[in-house]
Amino acid sequence: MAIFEEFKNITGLELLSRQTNYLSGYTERKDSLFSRLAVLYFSEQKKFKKLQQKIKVWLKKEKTETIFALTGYTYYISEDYKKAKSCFLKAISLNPDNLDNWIDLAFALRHNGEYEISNGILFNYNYIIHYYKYLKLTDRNYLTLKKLVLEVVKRTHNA
Amino acid sequence: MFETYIPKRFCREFVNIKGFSGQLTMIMATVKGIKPSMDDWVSVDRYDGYRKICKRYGLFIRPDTVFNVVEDQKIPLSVIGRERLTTTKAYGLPFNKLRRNGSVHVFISKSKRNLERCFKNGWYPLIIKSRVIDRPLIDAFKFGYDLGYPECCVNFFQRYNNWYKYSYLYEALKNTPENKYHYLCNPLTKDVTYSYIYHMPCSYNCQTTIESAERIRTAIYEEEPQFVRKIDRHLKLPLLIFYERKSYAFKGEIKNNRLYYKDVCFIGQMPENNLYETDLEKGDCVFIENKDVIILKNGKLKKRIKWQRKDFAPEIPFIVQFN
Repeated sequence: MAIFEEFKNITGLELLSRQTNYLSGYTERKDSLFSRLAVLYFSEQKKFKKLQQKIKVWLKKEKTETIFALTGYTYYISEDYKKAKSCFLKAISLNPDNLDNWIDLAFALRHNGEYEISNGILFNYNYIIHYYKYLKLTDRNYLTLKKLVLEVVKRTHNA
Repeated sequence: MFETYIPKRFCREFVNIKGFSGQLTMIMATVKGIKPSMDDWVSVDRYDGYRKICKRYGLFIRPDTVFNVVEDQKIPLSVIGRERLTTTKAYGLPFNKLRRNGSVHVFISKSKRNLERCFKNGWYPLIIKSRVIDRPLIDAFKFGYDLGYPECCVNFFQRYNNWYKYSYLYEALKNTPENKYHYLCNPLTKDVTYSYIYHMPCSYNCQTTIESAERIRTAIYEEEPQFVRKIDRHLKLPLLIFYERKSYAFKGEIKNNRLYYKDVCFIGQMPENNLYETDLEKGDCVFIENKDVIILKNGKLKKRIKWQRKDFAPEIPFIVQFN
């Protein structure tokens, strides 16, 4: 059974392929999956737990931006912010143009105690996206990303 | 009605430094250790002074972002997500003591652990560059627990905090047995100093809210009994509510579903929502008829405020008095 169908069977929610929220776009967020999962977590914990188990299987099958973001959300909601951070970094690596991935990462970092980097991203997301792409960074270059954020902050005095 | 309250002693410094008594009861409850943590706003140039007062009262403090509040009309239409800013509308900047303008969003608590949790979940929606940046919804839900709100009320919030669909205060009214409106569950005066709660209760007779407000009331009574008497009096004033941000308090009484009054005061926080104070001042009686608000003077019609359907922040007017 396809992941999207399985997801619907477990949660009753629709899973759509992740769309890119470009800086040039006009939407605050492209999808409401994160919010809908938050409601599910409080209203139907059993379904949420089942989803968490199933995601581990899906992640072995498919390494897409959609699955990384989804996995990141479930870790975030269950307060495993380190794993959430790792998933959002992978989602960024696959699609750095997607502002939603950056905002998700910034809030995971806030919970993780990496406040300076989190704020650096939130207040300078446009520069960070630009230079991340320019430097061709990936999820394996987190230290470089940190240096990049701090450098941008220093130059813009924005964090 | 609703004048700034200056305590005789306990927590007086907070009012002095802020210049008004907003959230004073919550600060007192946090100092007393009844409320686990809270957030507040203080002018950047007064932050150092505020921090010292917190220290004196045994509170830990953590600053977050700086808010430059703007009027709705001054936010360009091109700002993405501007329509979602329902209450405070502000541009956000990182905190820096050298800044001259704005208010810093701070978190305070008696416990370092509670402070950390509250801080992490407590981001408030802000305009950064050309977009509204908001925290994940799950943080907003958990923030309610961090602030010590009752679980039933947090659950109710999760269900009905939808400004496109519900009038939250009206939903709470529907969830309350008729004429069981307990004054300790009155959330309408929370932004004008005189309240023991700072959350939206699930019902105006919520037992957990009553117990928690009673604890705060008792603690404040030990320090400032005259403040408690004032709060109680304000909480029991009759109210006309359109929605969360448009409500009026009256000096008067309700008889046969009609509110007879001598004085009226807008308590909806956003001045741009105060559309009817002048009309109400011309009258002496107000009541609801088929969702229309009728204002009378000496028994004669002064004004009929026709009910209008709204797609955002729906209004279902009602009159209520908490006892």
